[in-house]
Amino acid sequence: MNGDLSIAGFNFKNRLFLGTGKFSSNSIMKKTVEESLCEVVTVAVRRIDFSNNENIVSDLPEKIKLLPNTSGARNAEEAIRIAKLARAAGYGDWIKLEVINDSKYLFPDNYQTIKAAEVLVKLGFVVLPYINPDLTVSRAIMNAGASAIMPLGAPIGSNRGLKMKELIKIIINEIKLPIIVDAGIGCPSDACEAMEIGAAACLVDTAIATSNDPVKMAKAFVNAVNAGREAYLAGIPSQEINFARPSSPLTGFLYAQN
Amino acid sequence: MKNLETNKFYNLDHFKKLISVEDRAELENNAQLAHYLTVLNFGKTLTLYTPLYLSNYCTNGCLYCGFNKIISLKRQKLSKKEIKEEGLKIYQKGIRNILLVSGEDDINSDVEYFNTAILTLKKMFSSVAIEVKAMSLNEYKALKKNGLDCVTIYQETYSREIYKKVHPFGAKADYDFRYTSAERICEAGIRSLNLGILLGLNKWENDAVNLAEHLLYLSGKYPDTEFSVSFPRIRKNNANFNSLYDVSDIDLVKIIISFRLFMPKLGIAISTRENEDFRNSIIPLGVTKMSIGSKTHVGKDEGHEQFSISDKRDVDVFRSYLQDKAGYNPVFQAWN
Repeated sequence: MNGDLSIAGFNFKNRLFLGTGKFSSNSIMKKTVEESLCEVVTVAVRRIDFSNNENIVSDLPEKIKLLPNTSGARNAEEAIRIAKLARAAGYGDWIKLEVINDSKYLFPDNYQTIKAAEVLVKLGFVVLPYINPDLTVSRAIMNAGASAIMPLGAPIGSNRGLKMKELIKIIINEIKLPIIVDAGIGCPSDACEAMEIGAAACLVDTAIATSNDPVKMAKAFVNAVNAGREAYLAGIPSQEINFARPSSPLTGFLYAQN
Repeated sequence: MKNLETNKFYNLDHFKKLISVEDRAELENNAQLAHYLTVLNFGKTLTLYTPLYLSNYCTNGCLYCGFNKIISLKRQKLSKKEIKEEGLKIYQKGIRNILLVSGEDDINSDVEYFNTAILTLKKMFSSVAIEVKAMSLNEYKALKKNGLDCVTIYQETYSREIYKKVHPFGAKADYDFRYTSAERICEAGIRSLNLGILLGLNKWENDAVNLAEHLLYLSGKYPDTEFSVSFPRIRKNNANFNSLYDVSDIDLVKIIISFRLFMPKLGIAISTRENEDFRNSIIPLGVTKMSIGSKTHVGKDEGHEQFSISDKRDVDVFRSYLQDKAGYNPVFQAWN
């Protein structure tokens, strides 16, 4: 479909992905998912009570693509265990890989993430890894067979925006995979900015979940993501790489025959 | 809030200033900032857990504890069957995080006993924590292998002088072994460590600063451990021990706020020692975990509690309060 984001055979129109943590109630979280029309929703496997039919993921709209994440994993081994747990419990093959052993900044461990991605792809998972933006790491993850790359904009929960903008731009330019900016997006204009530089989508959790009106905020983010995407496709003049080249050479006249 | 002075985080000098705030308006300002940071890092959520007392056999002489060796009470411990039964009662209330508590007695509640308890309860509870004697590295590693994911260990007080006075005999009298257990727990790879001080043993400012310093050291050395703190106040107990120093509600509020501003991602756990109204009021200040539906005696023996419980609310009542009045999401499931 034209304009859709395509990941592992699935097409998505809505380029705002939604996290489900930190909401002040499950009912508000579910309302936010429904009314924002978000199609991809992440949930920490550690928050899913498998013994209870009524848990954090029950009652979510059927149409959504649930993306379990390995939040809590401190190394590749723990991440692989959590991914397998999610799949065994019937939550599908898609996994957002989050390997964090840094309790101060919550930076992902890129090395352990690569290791886990390599194993999980071989086990048939559709892997979307969360990383500290780094081109070399991105190449390794792409070569491992991941289906997207999710570089952080700024530390989780910091709402500090695209502190990693330059590195993310480089990854977008060099890696032929959907690049989904995740973490640190603090307001709709941050999401818009990420889309303007060519991100395929944005994942937002804290800025929506902890706002006074998550439903309204999610809709604002959707608008911002759409605006940024449209601007990117139109070619933003101030971004030199997008400036339309005239169809005729500018210095051709120097060599014209008199 | 985008201009948050992040250089003041993890700053011990700043922590000392925070706990010394006297001005009401300044305290209110700090409270607002603490609330903001907690919501940013945790959302409006509160993780709930219930303690299960396994055994009141104890060879220590801790002056402040209702289980201390010299107190005459019916000594008992739960059998494997009873552990399962008691665990099931807690599980049926919706709780998924359980904290196993025991006195220190190498004959009656040794590491094998803890192992059995953990293995039994891991089938029901996604998170099993323990609050028991200080142990060796290998012992912590063995328990971790069987599913232990969290350890609570209180230094009680960081003053060696007071520590010696209130721990006259028993293995717990060894200050250094107690102090270094935190590192062994981290070294063993246990996911989560809850440290604490017993308020009332020492001047609270001194112990708070020492606890902060201890945390700073540990979190720097073990960045992959999830840390939380507790600061219970001495309550009415069967040991008839009275606080050596007063700790007012304002003092405890300052402690909570200061720890939140010191380490924005630190867990802060409050037990049912505090009463209902006070617990309700402090939730927005930075608390991330609360026990509920607690009983501090072993089995059915109601007369012999470790300490008196103030907040006697049932899990459902507290859950309703959080959802309907406080606007907080009670989190039962937090680990798998």
